[in-house]
Amino acid sequence: MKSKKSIQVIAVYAIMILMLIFGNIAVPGFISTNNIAVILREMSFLGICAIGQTLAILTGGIDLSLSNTLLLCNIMSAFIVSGSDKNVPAALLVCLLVSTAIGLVNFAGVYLLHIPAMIMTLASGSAVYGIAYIYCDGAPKGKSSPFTSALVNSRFLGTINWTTVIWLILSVVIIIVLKYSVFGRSVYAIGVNPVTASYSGISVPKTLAVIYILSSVLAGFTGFLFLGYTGTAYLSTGATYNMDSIASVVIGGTSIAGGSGGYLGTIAGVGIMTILTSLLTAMAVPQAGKDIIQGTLIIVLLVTVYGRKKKE
Amino acid sequence: MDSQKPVKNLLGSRHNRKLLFSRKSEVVFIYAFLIVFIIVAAILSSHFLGLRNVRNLFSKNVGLLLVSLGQMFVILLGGVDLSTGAVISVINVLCVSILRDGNTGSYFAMLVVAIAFGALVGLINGLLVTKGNIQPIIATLATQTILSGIALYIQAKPGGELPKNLCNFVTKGWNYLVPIIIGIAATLVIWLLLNRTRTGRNILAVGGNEQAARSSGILVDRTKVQAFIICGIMSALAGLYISAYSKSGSPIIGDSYSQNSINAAVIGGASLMGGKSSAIGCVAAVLIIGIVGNILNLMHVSSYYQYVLTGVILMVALTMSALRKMKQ
Repeated sequence: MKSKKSIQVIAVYAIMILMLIFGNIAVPGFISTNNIAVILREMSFLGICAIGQTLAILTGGIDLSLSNTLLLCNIMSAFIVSGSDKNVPAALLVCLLVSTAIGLVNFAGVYLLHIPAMIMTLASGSAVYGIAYIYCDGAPKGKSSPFTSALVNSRFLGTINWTTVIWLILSVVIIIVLKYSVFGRSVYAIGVNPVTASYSGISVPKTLAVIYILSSVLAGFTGFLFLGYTGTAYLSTGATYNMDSIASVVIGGTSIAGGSGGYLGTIAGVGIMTILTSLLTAMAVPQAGKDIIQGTLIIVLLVTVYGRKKKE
Repeated sequence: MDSQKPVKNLLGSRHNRKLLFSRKSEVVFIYAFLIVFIIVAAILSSHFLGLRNVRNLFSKNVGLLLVSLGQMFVILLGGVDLSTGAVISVINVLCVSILRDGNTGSYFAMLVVAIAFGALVGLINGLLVTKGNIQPIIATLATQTILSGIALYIQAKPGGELPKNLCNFVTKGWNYLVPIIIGIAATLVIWLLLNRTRTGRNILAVGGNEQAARSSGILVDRTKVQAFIICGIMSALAGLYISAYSKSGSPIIGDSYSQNSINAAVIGGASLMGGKSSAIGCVAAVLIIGIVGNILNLMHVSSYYQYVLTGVILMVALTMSALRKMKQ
C-alpha cells in the first residue's frame, strides 16, 4: 500500500514534467529559467494556501473559507499599508488576528458543534466575503509599498522570487512536521478515525484547532503577499483558490476521506494546476476553452491515477 | 414494498408517535425560524407584507427552490453538487439561442433539451462518483468547471433577449399564481418522489447507512446515479425559471446558485452526514434566504450584508440543530 502511494506521487510528478515538456513544444521558451521562476511564483501563492487545505483534508475535513479569508486580508492589508513600508507590521498583525479569529470560528463549529467542515467553512466563508465587501464598501482602496512589492517581485540570488523562497521553506517544514512530529502523526490518526485517535491519547481538539487556525492564517498571509503581486486590492482576488487548492490536494493523492496522502503530492498538484493555467494563457486559449480543459484534466487525472482503488 | 403500512404502524403506538414527532421536529423548528423572520421583517419595513412585495418574494425565489430541492437529493447521500449553478448558466445561454418569440415549437424544444441536458449532467456526475470513485465534491467541481466553459463558449458576453410573453407568463402569469403553482407542484412532486417511491426510499436508505442499504439488496451505485440525475434535472428546470425571471442571457447567471442551493438544503434540515432531509423544510429555508435579500433591499441596505447574514443564519441554524442533537 505504501509503495503504491509513492508510485502515485511519482506519477503525478511525471505528469507535471510532461506538461512542462509539452509546454515547451507548444510555446517555445516555456521552460526558460525566467518563465520557470514566474511559474514558481504563481505556484507559491496557491502552494501556501494548499498547505492548510492539505492539513484540513488529511483530518477528513476541508476549508472552503480560505479564498474569502485571502480576499479579506488582501483588502485589509492594501488599506492599511497604503503605499508605506512603516505600515507593513501593522498590516501583518491585523491579517494574523483576523485570520486567527476566522480559524477559531471554523474550529469551534467543526469540533465543538460537530458541524461538517464543508458546511461550516462554507458558512463562515460567506460571512467573511460579506465582511470584506462591507469593509471596503465595494471598492477596495490602498496600494502596495516598496517592501511588499519587493517581496513578490525582487529575486533571491537573481533567480527565484522571495515569495517562492518563503513557500519552499514552508513546504520543507510542513513535510518534515507531517512525517516525523507528534503533531503530524496526530493529523493522520484523526483522519483515519477521530474516536480511536482520541482514545489513544491524541489531543484531537488541540490538533484540529492548530489546523484550522493555520489554514486561515496561511490564507491570510497569501492575501498579504498578493498585495505586492497585484499592486492594489481587487474584489476578485483569490476567488478560485478554494477550488484550485482542493483540486491540487486531491490530484496530489490526498484522500478527501482523510488519513492518507501528504504535502509532497500536493506540490505536484499545485504545479499541474498552475502550469496548465499558465500554458493555456501563453497559448491564448479563451476562458471557455481553459475551463473545459481544466475540468476535463482533473477528471482524467483522478480516474487514471487513482480511479481503480475500489476494486482491489 | 408497501410504504403505507409502516406509517400506519408508526402512528399506532405512543412511543412511535413520539419518535415520528422528533423526526419531524427539525421541520417544525425551521418553520418557527421562518415565522420569526417574517415578524422581524414586517416590523423592519411596512412594505414587507404588502401584496406587491410578497408577490415579488415568491416570484423571485422559485428558481432557488427548484435547484435546492434537487441539491437536497445529493446532500441526502452525504455529498454535494457544485455543478448546479453551472447547469443553470448553460440552460440560460441555451435559452437565448433556442427560444424564438411566438414559436411554440421552440418552447417545447427548449423544455426537452433542458431536461435531457440536466439528466445527462447528472448521469455524468453520478458515473464519476460511482464508477470513477471520485468524491462528489471533486467530481462536481470538475464538471462545474467544464460546464462554465461550455456556457462561456455558447455565449461569451451577457446579452440577448428572451420572449417577453413567455417569460412574463412563467414568472407573473395568472396574477402571480403561475410561479406559486410551479413552486408547490415541484415541492409536491419531490416530496412524493422522496417519501412514496422506491427510488426515494432507496436514496434515504443509502444516505442513512450505505453498508446496511447494500446488505439489504439496494443497488447503491444505481441509487446514487439516480440522485445525481434528479439533481441535474431540477437544476435545469431552475435554469429555465431563472432565465424567464431575468429575461436575458448571461454565462455566469447561475454562479451563486451552487452555494445558495446548498445553504437552502442544509438550513432546510438536510444533514450533510446524509440520510435526512425534507422537501417541506427546504421551502422554508428558501423563503428565509429570500426574505433576507428582500428586507435588505426594502431597507436600502447594501446587498453586501446579505452574505454576512446568510452565513450567520446558516451557522445559527447548524448550531441550534447541533445543540439539540447533543441534548438528545
